[in-house]
Amino acid sequence: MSVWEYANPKRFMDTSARVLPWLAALAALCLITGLIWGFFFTPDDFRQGSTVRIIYLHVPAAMMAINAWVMMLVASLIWLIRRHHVSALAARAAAPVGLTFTLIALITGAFWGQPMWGTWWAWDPRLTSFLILFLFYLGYIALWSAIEDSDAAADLTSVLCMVGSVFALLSRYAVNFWNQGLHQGASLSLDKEENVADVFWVPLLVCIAGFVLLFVTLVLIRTRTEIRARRLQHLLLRERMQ
Amino acid sequence: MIALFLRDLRLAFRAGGGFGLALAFFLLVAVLVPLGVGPKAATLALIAPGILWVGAMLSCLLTLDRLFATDFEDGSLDLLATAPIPMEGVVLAKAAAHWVTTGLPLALLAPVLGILLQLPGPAFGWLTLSLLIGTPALSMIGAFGAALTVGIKRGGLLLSLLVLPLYVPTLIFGAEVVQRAGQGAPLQSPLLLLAGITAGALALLPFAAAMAIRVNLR
Amino acid sequence: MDKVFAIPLPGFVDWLLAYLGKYAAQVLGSYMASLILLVAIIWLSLWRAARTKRALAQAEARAGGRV
Repeated sequence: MSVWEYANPKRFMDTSARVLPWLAALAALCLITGLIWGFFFTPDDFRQGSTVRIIYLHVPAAMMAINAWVMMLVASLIWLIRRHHVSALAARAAAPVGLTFTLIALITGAFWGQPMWGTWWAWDPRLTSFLILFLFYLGYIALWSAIEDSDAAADLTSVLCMVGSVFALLSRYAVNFWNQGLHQGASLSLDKEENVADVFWVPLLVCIAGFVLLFVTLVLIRTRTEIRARRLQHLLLRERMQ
Repeated sequence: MIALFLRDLRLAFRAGGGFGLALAFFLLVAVLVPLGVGPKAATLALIAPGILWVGAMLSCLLTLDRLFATDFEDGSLDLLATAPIPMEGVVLAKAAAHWVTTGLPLALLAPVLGILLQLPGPAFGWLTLSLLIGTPALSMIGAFGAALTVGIKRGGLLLSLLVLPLYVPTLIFGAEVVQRAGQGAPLQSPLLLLAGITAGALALLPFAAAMAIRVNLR
Repeated sequence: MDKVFAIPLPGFVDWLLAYLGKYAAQVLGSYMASLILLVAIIWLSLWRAARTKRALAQAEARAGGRV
């Protein structure tokens, strides 16, 4: 409504408009290179056969599904502390992307688990916590769309995101406690001792970079949309009052 | 705070405010599950702890949407907001009243339903104890969810969607206690973790819930 | 790796199935599903972006620079 409410979003719109084409191009480049490289130019694994190729989708998607939630948490905190509207809208924009990534991780995991573990689904800790993460995303998105007043919605979803983060972590450990599980350890770690072999590692890194860039691009696009939608709402409201 | 707590209790008992509803629902779950999975005692004994805990959890959900909604609609929540007690205290009092009218009777009823579900003998005491320890967390988490959705018309479904994922840790540890008790396994660690979650929820969630209510009253 | 360059296009599907071996269904299935989901979220984002942009432009034109 006031100028200062629009001031920061304005700067955000200008900057993001300049950055977006590059980001999008880079994301597409990384994703296409990484996936084609991984799909066509890496050998079969001696135990997993060609299913090893699923890793190029599964691992980046799973990583970004968690990172998206962390990003939403940070954005929510910024909103609660600094009352920065773009931040709240960015958190809202990230949620459906995170939901999609979670779904990709779950589906590719099922496709991989079917031949390797002999089952589409196992109540393994990692799988279960991802399913719970999926539910958290659903609840968060539903709360956003249920509340009409946008500031109240931003406040309430931020609180939900904070509490949800704590409970998501708790669930992770609770689920670990509940069942020891089939899932292998982390595919990537900084100490390269138990990492996957280099042949798979490099294209995997490219794919991860692609997913990160894709996430940033989509969040920027969606945040821009949210900002425009809010401005549109103000304009329509004003029209109705005249 | 105590006055508010007593007032909520009176309201719950008087208007038939869903007091018996949760218990009836719990009973129904315990009756329907054996009808669904078959009467074999071994199967029932195996799943009884989980069923009883899930049933208690769902019964807790039933009365949650009324926790703040009635007070929100008739404006008494606004009065409470200006009252000398902090909103955190209001939330705590309301969650306590909810627990006394749902969690406590559920915990007391559970052993009876345990008979229906062929719960193994040694688990009965632990079932009640784990529900007594765990249900305060369910009421408190539910109060938080109710505070989030108090401004939404027909928020009941949304409330379940928000609250049920938050119930996961409590459910896991609670059911684990009863499961282990039935098998005669050591159950100290899940019991302590369950108590930890309850203590943590009671300590921290009133602040989050109070914040949500203040936002909704704005 | 060099077998990739040797493939004639019409035989691509046959080659692909042979290349992926007995797990072809799983690998192709997961790639398909993921790509569909990715395309869906990208398309949805772009579509909503375009729609809001258009609506906003119209509303601003109606407001006629008074904002």
